[in-house]
Amino acid sequence: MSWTRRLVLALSVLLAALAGTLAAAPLAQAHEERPVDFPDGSGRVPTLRTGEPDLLVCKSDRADFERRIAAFPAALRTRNLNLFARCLAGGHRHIQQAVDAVDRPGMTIAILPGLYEEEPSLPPPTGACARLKAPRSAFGYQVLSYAQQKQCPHNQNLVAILGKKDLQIEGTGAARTDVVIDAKYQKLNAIRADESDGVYFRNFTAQRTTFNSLYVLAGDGFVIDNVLTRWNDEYGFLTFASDHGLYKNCESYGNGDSGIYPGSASDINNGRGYDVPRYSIEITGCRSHHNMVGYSGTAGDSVWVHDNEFDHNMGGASMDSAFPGHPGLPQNHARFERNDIHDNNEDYYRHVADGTCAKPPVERGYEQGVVCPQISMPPGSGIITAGGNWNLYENNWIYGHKRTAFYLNAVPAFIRGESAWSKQADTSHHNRYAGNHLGVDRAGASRPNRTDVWWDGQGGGNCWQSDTGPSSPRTLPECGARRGDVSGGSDRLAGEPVKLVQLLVCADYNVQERRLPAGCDWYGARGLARVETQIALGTALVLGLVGATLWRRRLRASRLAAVSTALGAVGLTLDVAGSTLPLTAGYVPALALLLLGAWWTALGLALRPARPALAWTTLALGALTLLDAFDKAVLMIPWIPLSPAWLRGLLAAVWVLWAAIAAAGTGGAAPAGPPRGVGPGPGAAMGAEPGAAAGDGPGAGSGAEAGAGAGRVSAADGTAGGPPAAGRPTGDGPSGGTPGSTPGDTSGATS
Amino acid sequence: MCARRAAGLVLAVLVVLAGAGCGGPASTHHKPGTSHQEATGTAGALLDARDESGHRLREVAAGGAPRVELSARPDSEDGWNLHLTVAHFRFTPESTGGAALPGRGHAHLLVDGRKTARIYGPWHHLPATALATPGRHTLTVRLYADDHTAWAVAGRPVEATATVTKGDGPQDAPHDGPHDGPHDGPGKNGEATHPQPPAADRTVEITVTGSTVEPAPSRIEVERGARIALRVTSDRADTLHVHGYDRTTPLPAGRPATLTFTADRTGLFEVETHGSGLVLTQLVVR
Repeated sequence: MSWTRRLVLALSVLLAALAGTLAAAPLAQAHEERPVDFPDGSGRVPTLRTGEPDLLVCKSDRADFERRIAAFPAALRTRNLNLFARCLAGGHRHIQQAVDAVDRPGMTIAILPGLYEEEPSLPPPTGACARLKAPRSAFGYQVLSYAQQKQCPHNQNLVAILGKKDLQIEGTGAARTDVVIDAKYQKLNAIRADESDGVYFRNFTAQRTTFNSLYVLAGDGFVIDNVLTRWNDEYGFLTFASDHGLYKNCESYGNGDSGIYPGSASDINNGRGYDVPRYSIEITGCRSHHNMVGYSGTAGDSVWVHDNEFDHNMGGASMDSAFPGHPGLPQNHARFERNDIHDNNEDYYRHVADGTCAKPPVERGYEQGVVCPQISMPPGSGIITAGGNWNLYENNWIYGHKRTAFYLNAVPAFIRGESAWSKQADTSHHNRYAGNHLGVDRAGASRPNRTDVWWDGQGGGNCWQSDTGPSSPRTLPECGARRGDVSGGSDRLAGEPVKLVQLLVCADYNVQERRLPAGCDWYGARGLARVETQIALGTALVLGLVGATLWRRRLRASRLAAVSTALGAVGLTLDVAGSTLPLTAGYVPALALLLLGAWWTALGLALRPARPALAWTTLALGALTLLDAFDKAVLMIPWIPLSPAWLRGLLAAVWVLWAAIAAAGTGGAAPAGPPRGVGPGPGAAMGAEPGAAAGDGPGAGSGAEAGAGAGRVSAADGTAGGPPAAGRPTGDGPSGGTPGSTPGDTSGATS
Repeated sequence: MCARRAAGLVLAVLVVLAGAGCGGPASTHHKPGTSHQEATGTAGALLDARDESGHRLREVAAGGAPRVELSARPDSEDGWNLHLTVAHFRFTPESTGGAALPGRGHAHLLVDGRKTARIYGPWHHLPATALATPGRHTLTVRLYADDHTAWAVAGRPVEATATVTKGDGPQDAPHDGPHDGPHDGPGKNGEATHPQPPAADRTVEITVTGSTVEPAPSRIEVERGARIALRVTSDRADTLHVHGYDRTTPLPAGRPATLTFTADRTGLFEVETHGSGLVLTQLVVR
C-alpha cells in the first residue's frame, strides 16, 4: 500500500472510527458466551414428525385442563383428552423432566395445554453449582463452558436441552398460546438448545426472561415453527453460531433488542458474489413487532429472510458488523425478499429517559408495552445495515417510516476488534436495494417514507433502485437489471464528514447511565439541537463573518464581489436550512453548495488582481464546492477515495484563516487595485497548510502565521503544486499585515 | 492487544475505547444494555381452596397484598358503571394466561355469586339486562392473578361488593342510588372488603317543581367527614351536581334519586341542577 493510500486510509479510519456507528464505549461488557465455532455444515434442516409423541408433559389439574381445551375443535379436543389420560398415567409434569428422559435421537415430546413454570428449575443454584469456576460477565452471571452447562443446567436456563439430537418439542393446543412457558424474569433463558442438532420447536409460547426466550446455540439443523416469544430483555429468538435453520410462522414482540436474531449464522458464503449455493438460515412467515428492532443480524450471514412482517418496532430490521465476538464478521449475504416492513416508528428511548428501564426487568412493564432499547439505533428506519456486504434487498414493501426506508453505513474493522489495516474499510460493499415497493403498502396505497435512503457514502458496489424517493445523498448509484450492475457507482474509504460526526455523537448512548446524546435526532433532538444543524450554523457564522468582513474591507468597490458575497449569504442560509431534518434529503443542501461554490468562484475572481494567492485558493475552494454539489446532486464521482466534502472542509479551514487575515490587515482597502501580487505561493497554502489548519481553531497567532508565513513554509517545503498564476514575484499587497514576516521575498522561488 | 498493530496513537486510543473483543469468549449480544437482573421470590402460595369456578386461591401476606374497592354508579342510559379502585395491584390483560406475578392480574365480576365477566380495567359497564330479576342484587369483584388463581389473604379471596337494585319498569330505573364505595376504608391489612352502603349521617330531602325548590335554598352546615345523602325529587329529568366535590347523579322525572358522599373537604359548596340551573342548597363543611 502506498503511503498516500495509507494516509487516506488512516484518515478515513480515524473518522469512520468517530462514527462508532452502533457501537459505543462499553462494548467490552457485551453479553458473553463461551467460545463457539460454526457447525461443520454437515447437518440438515429437520422435518416435522407427525406420529405419536414419545414423551408427554402435562399438569395434573383436570379441571384446569378441561377449561383450556373446552373450545377446541372436537377432534383436537378428543386427541388432547386422550393424551391427557396417557400423560396422567405415564407422563411428566415439567418439560425438563421429559427432556431429561430423552435417551435417543429422534424422540418427540408433546406438551399439553397449560402453563409451565418449571418450578424445579427455578431455585438459585446451590452446592457445587453455586461454586462453579468460570469467568463472570459484567452482569455477574457466569460464562459457562458446555460441560458446566451440563453440570448445572438451571443456573441460567429454565429448560436446558443439551446435546440431544433430532428432538422435537411441540405443543398440542389449538394455538401457540395454549402452551405457555413462563420464566417470570427469573432466568436468562427460558429454553436453551445447546449443541442439539436437528431440534424442532413447534406450537408454544415462551416468555419473560432476562435474555432470550428461545436460544439455539451451535446447532446444525433447527426449526422454529409457530412459536411465540415475548417480553425479554434482549431477544425473543436467538439462534447463534448455527446452520441449517428454519424459522417459520413465528411471532415475537416486546424485546429490548430484537424479536428475531440469527446472530452469527453460519458464514457459508464468505468470498462469494451474489450467487450462492444455499443459505444457512431461512426465516419466513414470521411477524416481529414492538421491539427495538424486528430482526437483528450481527454477523447475520447468509440468512434468507422472506415473506415476513416487521412492523411497529423502532427499526424493522438491522444487520451489522459493529460488535466484537461474533463469529463470521463482517456480516454478509443476507437476502431480504417480499417482506412487509412498515411503520417502524416506535420511540422507546423515552422509557430510558424516564427511568423505567433502570428498574429490574420484572418491574419495567414489558407486558404493558415498555421496551428498553439495548443499543443506539436510528428509530423510524426500515432496514438498517451498519457494516454489511453482499446483502440483497429486493422486492420488499417498505413504507410508513418517519426516518428512512434504507439506512446504510460502514463500520471500520477495529470496532469489531480487528486491527489489520487491510480490513478497516472492508464493510459496506455490494449491498443491492432493487425492485422494492417504497412508500406503498401491499394494497398499493401511498404510505410514503419520509426519506427512502440514508447513506454515509462509504463503500463500493452499493446500488439503489431508480425510483428511490428523497435520499441523503440526493444522488445514488443506481442498480442495473442484473445483480452486480451498478451505474454511477463510487468506492470511498470514508463517509461524509458531517454524517460521521453525527454517528459519533449518536453512538454515545448508554441505557444504564440513562445517557441519551443531546445532539442526536435518534433521541428526539430537533432543530438547533441537532449536531448537523449546529455544525452548519457554526460554519455559516464563521464563513459569513469572514466573507462579509473581507468584502467590506477589501472588495467593496467590486460589484462582482458584492454579488458573490450576497450569493454566499444565501448559500450559507440554505446550508443551515438544508441541514434540518425536513430538507436534508432534498436538493437544498446541494443548492446551498452550488451557491457557496459560486460565491467563492466569483470572490476568487474579484480577489485575483489584489491577492492572487488567496484568490487562487478561493477559486480552488469554489471549484471543490461546486464539485461537491455535483457529487451530491447529480452523480457521485467515481474513483476518488474521499468525497469532495473532505478536501473542501480542509481547504475551507485554511481559507477562513487566510481570508480573516487578509480582511483584518491594516493596510486598508485595496479594491481592484493594480495587480501587485502577494507573497505566499498558493501552492503552499494548498499543499502544506491543511495539516496545520485542520487541527487548529482559528486563532490570531496561528492564523497570522499560517497566512503570512505561507511563503516561507512553501519555500522551505519546496511544494510547488500551486495553480499556474502562483508566485508572481512582487511585493506583498497590504504591507504590514503580517507582523514578524517579510513575505514576498522568498516566495518567488516556489514557482 | 487489539491495538498492537494499530499505527497511530489516536487510532490506538479509539481502539481501546471501543473495547474490542479480541479473542476471548463469543458474544451473542450487543452492548451491555440494561441490567439483566433476574427476579427472585414467589407470588404467594397456592391453597387447596378453590373458588366457585374451581380456580385455586393464592395466598399472599397481608402486607402489600392487593386490595379492591367497588362503587356502582347508575348510568344515565342503562344499568350501572362499576368503578374498581385497586391498591397494590394493576390490571395486566396483556399477560393473562401467564404465570402469577405479585400484584398483577384481572378481576372477576360476580352477580349474586355467579361469575358474569372478567374485568381488565378500573371501569366496567353492567347493563341492566345483566340482572335477571328486579330487586336488590349483590355485585362482587374479586382479584385474580394472570394464571387465574384468586389472590387471597388469610384464606379469603380479595374482593369487594356493592348492591344495586333493579327496577321493574321497562327500562331499568329505580335504584337505591350510587354508592361511592366503602368509605370506611379497605379491610385492614388488605383483607377483603365487603362494603355495605354506610348509613348517611345526614339526609337532605329536596323537591324540585318547575323552578321552585322545596325547602327553599339555604345553607346546610355539616361536620367534615360526615356522610351526606341528598335525596332529590325533580318533576323533570335533570342532573344533580355537587360543586367542589364534582359529584353528579341523574334525576329521573318524578322519582327520587339519592346522591351519597362523604364531605371530606371543608368549604362552601353549591348543590344545583344542571338542566334547570337551580341552586338547591349550599353545603358548608367545617
